[in-house]
Amino acid sequence: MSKIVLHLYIAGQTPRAERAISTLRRMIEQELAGYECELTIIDVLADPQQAENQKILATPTLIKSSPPP
Amino acid sequence: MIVIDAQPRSTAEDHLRAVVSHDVDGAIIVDHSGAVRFLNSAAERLLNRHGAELHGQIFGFPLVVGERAEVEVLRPDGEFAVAEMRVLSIVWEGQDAFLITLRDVTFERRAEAALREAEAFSIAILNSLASEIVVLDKQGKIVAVNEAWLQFGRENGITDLASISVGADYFTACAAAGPGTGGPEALQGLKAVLSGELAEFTYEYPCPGPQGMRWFALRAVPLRGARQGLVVAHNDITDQRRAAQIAAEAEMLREQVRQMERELISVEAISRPDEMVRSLTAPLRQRAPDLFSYGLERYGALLEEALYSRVHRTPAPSRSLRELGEWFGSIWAAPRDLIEVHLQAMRDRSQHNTPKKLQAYFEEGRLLLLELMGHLASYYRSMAAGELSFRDSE
Repeated sequence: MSKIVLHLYIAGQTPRAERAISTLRRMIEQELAGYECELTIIDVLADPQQAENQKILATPTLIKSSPPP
Repeated sequence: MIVIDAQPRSTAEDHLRAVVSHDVDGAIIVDHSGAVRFLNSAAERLLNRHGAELHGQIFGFPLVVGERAEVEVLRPDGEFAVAEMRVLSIVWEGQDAFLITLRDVTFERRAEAALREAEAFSIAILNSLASEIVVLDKQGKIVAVNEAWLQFGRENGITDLASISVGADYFTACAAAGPGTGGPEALQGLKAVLSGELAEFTYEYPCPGPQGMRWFALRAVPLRGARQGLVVAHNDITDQRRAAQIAAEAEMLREQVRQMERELISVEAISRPDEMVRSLTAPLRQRAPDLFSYGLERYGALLEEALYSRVHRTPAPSRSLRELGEWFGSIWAAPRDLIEVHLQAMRDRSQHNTPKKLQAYFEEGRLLLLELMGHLASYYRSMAAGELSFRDSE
């Protein structure tokens, strides 16, 4: 099974973003415990171009980059 | 722009499309892959993008169905809006899909953030003040306190800080404090400020604490603004009170020294010798200032020794005092010279000592002076009886 690569887009270190991050970490630890996971957090305030390239419309948004569907 | 699919639709779906199209909230329909299938004009405005541009684009897969969540909506200019998101499972164009409604709450959230910031600013100001501050509403309920107030509570052993914090009834606590505590008097003053009868109210009250009795000054002023009430500040004035008390005690002791001086001068005036004798017995200070200073120095040293003995509970050396008495006799000193030496020694010490120490000097000095007088008298008595010459030849 190939590695699961996840990208979480957030807008600043808000309580909402913190909640999304903790929920996601819990999901990775519990639901995806048997898989190799790599999580990258992208703050769209710090890197707006990346959000535009990925056509991110809302945050928090989680993108599964790999494996393909 | 509204994206409308040209596929044939059922009546129910037409009805849903009509409702969603005219919804004032933004509505986005995404299929199971998260791709946008439809969005209404409110959603276009919220996203600040055209519908055609977004059609088929991945919006994302909503993880919360049926629940409410808040998301940031990103706009092309880099700005973002805050939206309350709700997701419903629907059937769209014959397939399972999600209806995502987005209610723009940007204004509300920014207003809340501004309010929180303003409140945090007010709290920061309150917390930066050293005075213990309590803000009360019109009924005397606490609506805000500062950190100094809570710290005071902790230092005084209050474990249930809720009883002195927001929501607690300050007026009831004042009334319950009972007579003699200052509570009822403070309550009366606070109510007078609240009713507008007084512009402000200040009150000093004692407060027993772990380090003994402390004094506080309470100052209450009306709370001006939309919410009416009172701002009550408490300041610890124990040090000022203590300093004032010490100054008063010191002044009292100095006055005692002056009084004693006046009395002795009167006694001296009454027992003044006649003209002939006076010429022979002018005051020591006048006829021999050096001897007076030397006597004062020796008397001062004995006074210090007496004080040391008093503090350390050791016996005072009375032999030295007898020797000093005899020395005064040998230079023809009179009792009033001893009184002058004593008063000068007291005067020298009255300026730079604590009231407690001054009181000790005062008490020890009196005993010393009496004993010294006794030695002087016995010296003269011995001399008169011829014993001294006998002792000298010994």
